[in-house]
Amino acid sequence: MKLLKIIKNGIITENPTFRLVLGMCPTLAVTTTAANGVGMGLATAFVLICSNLVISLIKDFVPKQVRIPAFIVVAATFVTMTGMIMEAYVPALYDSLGIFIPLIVVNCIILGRAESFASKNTPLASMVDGIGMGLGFTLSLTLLGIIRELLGVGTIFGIQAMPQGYNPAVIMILPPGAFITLGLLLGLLNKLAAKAE
Amino acid sequence: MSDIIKTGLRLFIITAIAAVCMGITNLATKGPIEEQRIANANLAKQTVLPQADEFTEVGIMTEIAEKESAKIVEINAGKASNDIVGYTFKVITRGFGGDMEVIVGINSDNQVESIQIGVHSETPGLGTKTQDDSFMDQYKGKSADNILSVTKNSPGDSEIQAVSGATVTSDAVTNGVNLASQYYSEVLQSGGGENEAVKDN
Repeated sequence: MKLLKIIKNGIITENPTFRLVLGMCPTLAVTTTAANGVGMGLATAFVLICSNLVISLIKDFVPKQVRIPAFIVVAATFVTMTGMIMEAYVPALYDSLGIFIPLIVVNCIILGRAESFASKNTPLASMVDGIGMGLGFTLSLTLLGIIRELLGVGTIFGIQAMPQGYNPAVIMILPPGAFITLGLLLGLLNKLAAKAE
Repeated sequence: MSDIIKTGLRLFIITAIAAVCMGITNLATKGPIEEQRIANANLAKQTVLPQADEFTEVGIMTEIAEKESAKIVEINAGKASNDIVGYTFKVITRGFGGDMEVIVGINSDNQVESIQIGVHSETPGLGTKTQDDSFMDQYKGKSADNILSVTKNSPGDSEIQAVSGATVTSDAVTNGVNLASQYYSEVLQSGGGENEAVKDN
């Protein structure tokens, strides 16, 4: 039951994008289409699960003073290995996700969860936290991607979703569109959360 | 003092293990990655010049191949049963988001056979639309003697219709194709590349 709560925590209570407001660089940069959002989210989730597990396993070995460099090394190792393995054996996936992989190293969700969760909890709970946070990040990015792609191009996942005569608001898939969408969504969700409380 | 050594040593152990893991992965994936890249490069050449079944790299005369707006980085002679049937050009051109790779095939009938867009960082949904067949097919059959220009509507014979909202990218692709055409007309059409500059590889 506790594990389910950890997953719910990642998706809703402490949603990395909308509640913790972590990992904003990739969030703003890659959510031009729904498919990009899913891709970035899943790639991050994978690295997050692996790094959370390893960091939880080595937490007693890592001296307190150098924990941050140690966590970064662990995350960077997984990112590099994932990139190489994908390019070698699943080139089709690498073609569509390849550009996101190096971005994950600088994603502060990885470091944030290592510091605030994995270094204090059991390996199993840390992996589950990785799953929850990863899913929360993926869902948020997909939502942003859907809204921006729908208004900016008129499609969702590449499928025409607006009526033929719709003239796309190109600004939505440019950087300003990212800030506008994120700002409005943050405001809306904060309002809903305040009401729920 | 001993604390510093202990801390440093533990961090060293962590980084050493990480390095070994990455080293092993690199060793295991180096071969397949190289094969992937070669296969991709060959596929691009094959796509822009389908009638050729063999490609040999040709030397580049840099004074003609480098312009402010674009630069030819690789030329291959495409052969079918040992006759040259055309050339493929890999051109780096300046797009909206930075450097952009355009691969151009020119056949021995003096026409652009086909083009491909390689590595680029154009805006998704705008600049990336230059990769759609509807845009790229416009270059097919254009004479290599003509300098192409970009227009916003109803293109003429030596004109290309820009992707709306992505004029810079459309211009960049056209610059790349123009440079390849120009190089072909000036150097390769007369057979110069075949005799003088063929590299063995």
